[in-house]
Amino acid sequence: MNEVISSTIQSPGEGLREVWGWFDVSQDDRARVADLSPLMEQNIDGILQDYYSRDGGYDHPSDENTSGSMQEVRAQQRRHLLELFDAGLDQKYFEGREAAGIFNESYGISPSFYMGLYTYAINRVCELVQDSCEDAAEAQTVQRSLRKTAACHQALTMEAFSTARTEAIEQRERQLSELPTPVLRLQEGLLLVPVVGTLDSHRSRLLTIQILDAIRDQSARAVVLDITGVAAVDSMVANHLIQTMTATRLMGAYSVLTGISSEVAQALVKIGVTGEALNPAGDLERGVATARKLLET
Amino acid sequence: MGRRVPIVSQGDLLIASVQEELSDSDILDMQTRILEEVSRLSATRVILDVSLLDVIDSFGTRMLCDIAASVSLRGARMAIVGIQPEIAMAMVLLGLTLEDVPTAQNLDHGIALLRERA
Amino acid sequence: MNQLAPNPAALLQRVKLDSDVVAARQMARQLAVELEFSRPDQALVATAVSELARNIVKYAQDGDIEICAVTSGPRVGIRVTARDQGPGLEDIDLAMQDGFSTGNSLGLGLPGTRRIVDEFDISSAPGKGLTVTVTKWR
Repeated sequence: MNEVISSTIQSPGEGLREVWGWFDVSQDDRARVADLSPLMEQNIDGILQDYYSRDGGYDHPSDENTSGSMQEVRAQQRRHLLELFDAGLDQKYFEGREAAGIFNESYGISPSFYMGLYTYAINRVCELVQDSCEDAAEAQTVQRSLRKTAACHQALTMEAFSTARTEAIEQRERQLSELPTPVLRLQEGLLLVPVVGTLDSHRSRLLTIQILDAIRDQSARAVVLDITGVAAVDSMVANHLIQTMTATRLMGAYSVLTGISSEVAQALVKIGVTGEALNPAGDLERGVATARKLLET
Repeated sequence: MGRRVPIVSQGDLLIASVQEELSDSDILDMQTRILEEVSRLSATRVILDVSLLDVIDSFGTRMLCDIAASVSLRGARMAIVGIQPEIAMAMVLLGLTLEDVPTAQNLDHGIALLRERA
Repeated sequence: MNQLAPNPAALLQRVKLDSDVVAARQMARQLAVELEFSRPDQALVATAVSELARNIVKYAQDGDIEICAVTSGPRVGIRVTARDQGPGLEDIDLAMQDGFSTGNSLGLGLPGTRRIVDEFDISSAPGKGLTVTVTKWR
């Protein structure tokens, strides 16, 4: 289901028509909603004002940092609400929903808050319809059209919200995994590299070249590689570490590996990685001592 | 050929510096010349400076190992100095490790390395 | 996948003498620099070309190396095709067996080359020569 909706979000037109179908929104429904446009424009500011100033009903996002960003949020919410009454099938309408979702995500406007505002506003419009229509049956038809169209409108926005949220999370994860590893100079000729996080082949290459550059720039002769903070060490990661340490040796520097936990040690032995290739030196303190001794000789 | 790999000596120390990219036959020539100089000058230490080489592939690595091995058969020891970061990276990814040849970052370190092991 | 037709926009280097190996890898590095490959990747492209060109000199005596820029969506890469009319390979799988632990006697150097590029394609038959196509993305 999700996939289908996402794909319609990617390409409107045909797909959007399909979404209207899911919500049983007909051409007539959309025409009726579009007819409400003048009524909405007349009343929207009042409705929003009432919504924001109700007792206890509104506590998010906080009023303290009103001014600039708050006004921006209100202006956007007003615009997004008005777009409901365009109820168009076109690219622009679709982009509007996407923009609304992205806006909500980036300003931290939760789906519940967004839904609350819409429910309130739609109910208010329904009251207005009730009051302005002489024929009760017709009022009911218009209200039904509005609710269906609004549900679809909200679904599209939420869909975009969730896509934007997923992207934001992925982006953060990517940034985290690409966070450069610090190459610290402990003393002349001695580098300390605390590796943290996951070590895939891309990051491992970046790390290796970083260490090699540092060896050259600082004429380092010893490197302590500490993997206490590495999430998981499998044969792939062990292989990356061996490559890094081999490259270090080609550059003329010794390297020792510290921070192999007992769990990691057991796992490494099980997959056939022996100590020799990794030049392990126990904990960080012993590793640094070992490296210092190498420098003295 | 001397232009491509000048060899200078100081006491029992020979320093051969690769000046530019070498073809395979250039490398073979270099091997011959280094061995000749080791004999002629009774050198006991050889430093091969490869900091200007921008590719060291499998043949190049094998030749570096061969040169070091043949130098040691002549009773001298050899260190390779100046492998650049991106070259070291490429060598490791190719699986080339230069296992039995001592390496150093620069001339000073290389000279110290050979002195230590004397 | 296996695009064998010569590309008119490609750089071509005949490979016959061992000095041609140097010329081919310089050409590859030059293109990698122009395409703004990272420094380590420039070295990898040049090394891969060096291995492929050396194979030609060693096993086929004559052939050529074709180097061109390729794009795929937003990606930019370098594609290298090494062609020869040499004896070819009886057993491609055997030639591709990884000699990782054999240190410095790497034979054809093809397994190593495969590790430093992103895409690797090989086709050969006894007596029909050898064509290796590799791609490295920026």
